[in-house]
Amino acid sequence: MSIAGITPILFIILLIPVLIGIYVYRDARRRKLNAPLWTLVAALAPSFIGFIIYLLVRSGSPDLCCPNCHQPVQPRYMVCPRCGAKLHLACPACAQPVEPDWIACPRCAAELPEQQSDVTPPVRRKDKELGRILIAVILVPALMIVFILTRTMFDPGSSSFSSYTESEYFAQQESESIAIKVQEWMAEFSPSSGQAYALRYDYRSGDHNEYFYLICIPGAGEQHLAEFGQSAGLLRPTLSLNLTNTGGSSMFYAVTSTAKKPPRLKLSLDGKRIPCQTTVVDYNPTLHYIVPNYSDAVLQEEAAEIFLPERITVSKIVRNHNTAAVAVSEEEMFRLLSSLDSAPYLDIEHTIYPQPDGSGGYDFKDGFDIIIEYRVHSEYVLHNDMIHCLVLEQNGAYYIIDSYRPDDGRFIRQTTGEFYDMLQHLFEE
Amino acid sequence: MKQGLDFEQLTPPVLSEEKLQEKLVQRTVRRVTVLLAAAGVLLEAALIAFGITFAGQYPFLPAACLLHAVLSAAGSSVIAVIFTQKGGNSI
Repeated sequence: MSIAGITPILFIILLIPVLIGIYVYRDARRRKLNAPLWTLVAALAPSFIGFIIYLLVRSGSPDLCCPNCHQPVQPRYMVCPRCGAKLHLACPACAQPVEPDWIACPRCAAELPEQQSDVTPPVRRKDKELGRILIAVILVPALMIVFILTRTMFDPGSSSFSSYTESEYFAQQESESIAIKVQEWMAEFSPSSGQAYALRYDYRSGDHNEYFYLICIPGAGEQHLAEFGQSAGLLRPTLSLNLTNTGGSSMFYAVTSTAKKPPRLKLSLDGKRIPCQTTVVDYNPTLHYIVPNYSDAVLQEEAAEIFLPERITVSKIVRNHNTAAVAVSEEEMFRLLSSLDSAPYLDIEHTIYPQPDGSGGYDFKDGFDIIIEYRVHSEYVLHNDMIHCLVLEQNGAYYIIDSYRPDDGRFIRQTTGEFYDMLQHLFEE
Repeated sequence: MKQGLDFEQLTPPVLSEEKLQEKLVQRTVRRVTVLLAAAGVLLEAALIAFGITFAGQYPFLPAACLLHAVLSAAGSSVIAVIFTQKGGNSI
């Protein structure tokens, strides 16, 4: 599994021990401590434990310098070896170190003067780097938390909604098997329970997630929608549906939601929250279509059967107008869909588009006509808006003309010779 | 802590610049330690939130982050015990 998506965050997390390691190495060298060992301890121990230990231990080896010439000195030095400045109080008779509140030298018994004004004790080096490290170690996790909260709380995704009466739903449901399953689901309803029922189908394709809900509140009549919306939540978004009870037969509500995680259903009837029993199913119970993207799909060679969860398939490949179609295997179908979806759209200025001055344009003489149809569960269903692609070769380059999913006016994609050869190979067979 | 000093009964402590600097270092170390401990807790919280957020795309992340948190908590406990037993009050 690739970790490319979280690389920047991992980089920032790893940056903290690196910064600490550099600081500790330089500081430990100045204090004549075992720099490599302390660097490893401080950088590798989790939660700054090693760093805290180092800060406690290093207190025994102060980083001192002469206040006069600012050269490093040891705590035991009586005078600075470079400039000769007097660093500690000393007995005037035997030159041994003494404390300021002593009145006599403990070694030679000489009387000590009350004040020695020529002493300038060594000063500690100002540690500005430690302040910066502290700011970094507090800011990085704080910013991470803000980023995560922003990601979870301010990315509610999007949703679409439609409603049908029971008769409308079953009239428009093209799949008989799904209609039967929905009827079986309805048979389990308990109108007196005062709860809602929902079927949920999860469609995932790479980073793209779609959730299809079919919701019904039995015994609550043909409810009119008062309010509908999807809002962000701390862990997952919330899908709110506020309805008013008007009596009569029940209705179906179909919701398609795009979000990173399945939204939580929050249903209210006449302003009162009602519980909802959600069942996750392996078919799309709504009348909303799934438009999949095969560009990131991976063919698993070891799989005994190629699983095409996206419920879309190539139904026909026609060499040219009115020529016979060829049958394609599931593997070929997969490669075709993957090539189609990964082909980039060409900008409108490209010469393959007809230009206002009459130049450019394409000529479909000897290409391939690809018809793609939806598959609902196990059945193939043709729709008027099915995908129809023309694949052609022009001046040594290969193009796909895709009229179904035009992208900002761009409807021509650039494809590869391999894709064209694959289509030719299918016809040769 | 009693802030006043009875100058008639007690002799005030003799202070030198060295002693004051030592006191300053002790306070700085204490302050930095508290800040680092807080930063460590914050980092663990951020890592756990990070693991949960990306659990969908990277199933190993929550387990890795949890392991990190457990190791950190265990390590911190050991350090706290050693620190207290080895005269942590003097810092």
